[in-house]
Order: sequence, then structure tokens, then C-alpha cells
Amino acid sequence: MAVLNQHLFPFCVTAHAFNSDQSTICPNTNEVQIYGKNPNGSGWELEYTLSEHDLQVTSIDWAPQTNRLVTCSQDKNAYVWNFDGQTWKPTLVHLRINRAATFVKWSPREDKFAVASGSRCIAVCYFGEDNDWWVSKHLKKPITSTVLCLDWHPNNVLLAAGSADMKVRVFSAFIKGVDQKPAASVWGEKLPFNTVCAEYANPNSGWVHSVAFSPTTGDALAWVGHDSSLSVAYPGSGQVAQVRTRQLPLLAVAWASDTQLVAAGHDCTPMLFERVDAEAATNSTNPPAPEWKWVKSLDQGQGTARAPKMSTNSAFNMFRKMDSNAQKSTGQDETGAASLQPSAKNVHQNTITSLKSLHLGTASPASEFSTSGLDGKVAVWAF
Amino acid sequence: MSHRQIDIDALNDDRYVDEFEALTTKTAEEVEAQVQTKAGSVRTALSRGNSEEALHIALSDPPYGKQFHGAQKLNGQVVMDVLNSVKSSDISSIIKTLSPQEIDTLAKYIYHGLAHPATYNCGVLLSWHEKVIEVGGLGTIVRVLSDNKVIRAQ
Repeated sequence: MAVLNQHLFPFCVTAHAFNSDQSTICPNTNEVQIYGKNPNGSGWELEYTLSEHDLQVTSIDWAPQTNRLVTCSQDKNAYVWNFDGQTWKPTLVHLRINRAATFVKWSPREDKFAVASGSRCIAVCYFGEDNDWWVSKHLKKPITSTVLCLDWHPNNVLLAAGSADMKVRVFSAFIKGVDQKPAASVWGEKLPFNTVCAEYANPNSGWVHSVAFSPTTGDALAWVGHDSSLSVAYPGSGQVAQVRTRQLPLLAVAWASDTQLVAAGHDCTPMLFERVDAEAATNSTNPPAPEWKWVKSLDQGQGTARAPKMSTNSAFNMFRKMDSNAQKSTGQDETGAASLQPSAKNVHQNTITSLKSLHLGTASPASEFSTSGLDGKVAVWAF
Repeated sequence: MSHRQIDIDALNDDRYVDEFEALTTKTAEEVEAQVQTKAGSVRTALSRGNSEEALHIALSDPPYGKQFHGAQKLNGQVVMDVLNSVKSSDISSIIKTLSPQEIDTLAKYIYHGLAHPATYNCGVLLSWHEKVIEVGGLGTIVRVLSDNKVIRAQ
């Protein structure tokens, strides 16, 4: 996987989103910054700063077709931003939550979005013509803790949610008057609002950090948890494939094709996972139990070889040197990037917190991904 | 002072319910008897010198949950007996036969043992730890930390 574009900011990037030629990020504050591509071809230029939120912005999503932004924040609010040719105008969303909003995602048709929150519910928002603002309906049961991540099924109705109660659930977020009645799928036939279509857990508990429906059909659901595992559920056959990885926990996951997943997290590099029996699964009428495996790290480094792992002795020497120089730092520089790990050749120098596939309105599997992390870097990768 | 005896947490809808404990239908005696049987077959396997089979049996279906304190203690002892009986040169080859799930369970017992150095032989546990992490990677340690199915044998 090659890096197409990368930019280092002098702050942690808490959230990011891309449009065709613009990117938007949250610099770990209450502001949202929109960057345009520099006309000279290299780098990004700050174009707009959106500062309507009072507290830190937690998530940003950009609807590619309608060119609308939605942001949510710890101040319990979400805003939909419309561009009128000169400025970005916010519209307040009537969320009715009493804890921080944690995650936001537009539905595929871009007529709804869902906001996850710490008040143990998901607000499904749609535009109320009568009031001329965005109104919400709550998905509550049976969530018992903060919802951390969401993903929409391609049919615009089903919503997957991963939460801190260590469960992944698939809900129906059917809104009368907005949605057409969905066709029956592997997830169920009758889907009134708040139907729980499925519930899954990690093999060794742990928070669920990211969920994703498979891109074309939505017949499979992938998620990653804080027990360093990656799981893929196939409700059609009732089977769940779980990979117990050797690495530190993954925080974000996205599909590259129906048999490939890209995931990233505390190991600071995107990693590729693949379905082992991919050929048998598509060719035979009686496919075997699904099985996934870790394939490789996708960050080949800007050089070829990775730096050797730090031995106990060299770490000891590093701390002794810091001690003799009376340094207070614990191996971190000003940007918060840890200098202990990983190799200096890697693109990301700290935890990757967000990974998005750049569909840009097409239904086909993604070939480009964007990542952002605590080291302040935003990178675009070609797969 | 009778009001002190009221379990006020039971009146709270939001109280934490350990799902894992709430779901079990077995009694403590049943689970303990199960582990006793297991201990028996582990002993048989060990006396035949087949420590690989003994370890597989010892790690299968470990008891969890607060109410099964006795069974957990016994199971912990069974696992430790197997670990102690294996020659340090055989550890790697035995670990290679374990499934990823068994590796994670074994790591749990190793960390449990290391937390109670007065009861268990930490030297042996450390040599097992090294080999287990070689196979399972950091992910195994993360899973010991994240799992809510905790071993409470002390």
C-alpha cells in the first residue's frame, strides 16, 4: 500500500473526513478546520475554521453527494454544515442527549445520520420539514453503556453499533416518511424502528472500537475490539469468524473488498486481513466455515527494512540518559509522538485513531483509505 | 438498623449485572464436581507421562464466576500441576499444539499464578510466560487484561 498524500499537523488529530479535493480535521479542540489542496500541488491550506461547538469535537463525517458536513462534540450537540459558496452555515440538530456525543455517520443515501453518545443511546437524525431543523429518534434498548462506533448498512435502514458494554448490535433505524420499506435481507424481514437484528460479542470481552458492514451487499459485519481481536459475522449462515491477533488492540476497521479488511490501531500501522477460504466460499454451494487471518502490515516504511526492536538494555540506557540529563519527558516529543516506538520509517508515529475508506459516492469497494492519529498525521493510502 | 440490610443496589435499574454470572444455571457443587473429574483425568494423563494431553484437559472449559470460587481454585491448582510437571525443554513443543483460545486461557492462569508468588512457583511460570508470548504476541497479554472472565482462585 502506497502513501499518496500525507500531512503532519502540530497537534493530535481527533477526527478527520475527506471530500474529493478537500479535507476536514478536528485539531483536538472545539474547532473544525477545513483544508483545501494547495494549488501548487503539494500540501494543504487552511480555508475555513468552523467554531460553533463549545467543547472538543469528537467526530466528523462528510456526505460526498450533498456536500454536507456533520460534526458532533462533547458539548452534547451536533451540527449539520451547508456550504453556500462562501461560508459554511451550521444547523443545530435536536439530539436530546445528556452526555457527550461520541461518533457520527451519514447514511448511504445521505438523508439521515446517526449520532452515538454516552447517554446509552443512538440518536437517528432526519430532516423535519415542519420545523426546518434536524430532529432525532432514539435507539435505546438494550444498550447499557456508551456507544463508541456506528456503521450504516447499504440499504440505508440497518445500523450497526459497537459499544463499551462489549457488544456489537445491529438495529433497524427505519424512519417512516424518510425510508422506503427495505427488501428482506439476511438481517431480517420486518424491520420496524429499534428492532435488534443481531447481537455479538468479542471473544475476550473488551470495548468495541469500530464496526463496518461489508461494502456491496452488507451481508457481513466486521468489528474490532479492545481484546486485540477482529471478528466478522455472517448472519446468513449464523457463523462468526474471529481472529485473535498478535498485536496491540485495533481501533478502526474498513473493508477493502468482500474478502479483505484493513484495520489500524495502537500498532501505528494499517494492517491487512484476508478471508482464508475466499475461493471456496464464492465457488462452492456449501461454503466452509468462514476463517480470517492476519496477512501483513501495510506500512512498508519509507525505506525497506524496519529498525530493529529496542532491546531491554537500550531502553534502560535511554532512561538512564534521560535521568542524567534531568529530563522529565517519558520519551515523547512536543507533538505527543512516542519516540520509543515504532520505527522512524513508519508513516504514523503514534496510535491511529481513525481509518476511513474513500468511497466518494461510489458503491464499489474502496481502493483508497485515509488515516489519522495521535501523532498529528493525516495520510491517504492507495490500496 | 434494619434499613442497613436493604440491598439498595437491587432497587437501581442501572445496577451492574455480571452477565456471565447471571447466565449460569449450574450450582457451585456441580461445577466443583466437574473440575474434580477433570483433575482425575489430568492426573491419569500425567501418570502416563502425557503432559500435552493433560494440559489440553486442564485448560478445557475453565470455571469462571464469583460463586464458583472453590472450583476455580481447584482448576488453578490442576493447571499449575501440569505446568510444574513439564520439563523446560518441552515447553515450546507443547505450546505449539495449543489452539489460540487455549493459549489465551493458559496466559490467564500464568498471570494469576504470578500474582500469588507465595502459592505458586514463579520461576516455572516465567519460563512458560516467555514461550506463550512468543506464540501469542502482545495480543495475548491484552486479552488477559481485557477479559471480564477473570480467574478468582485466591
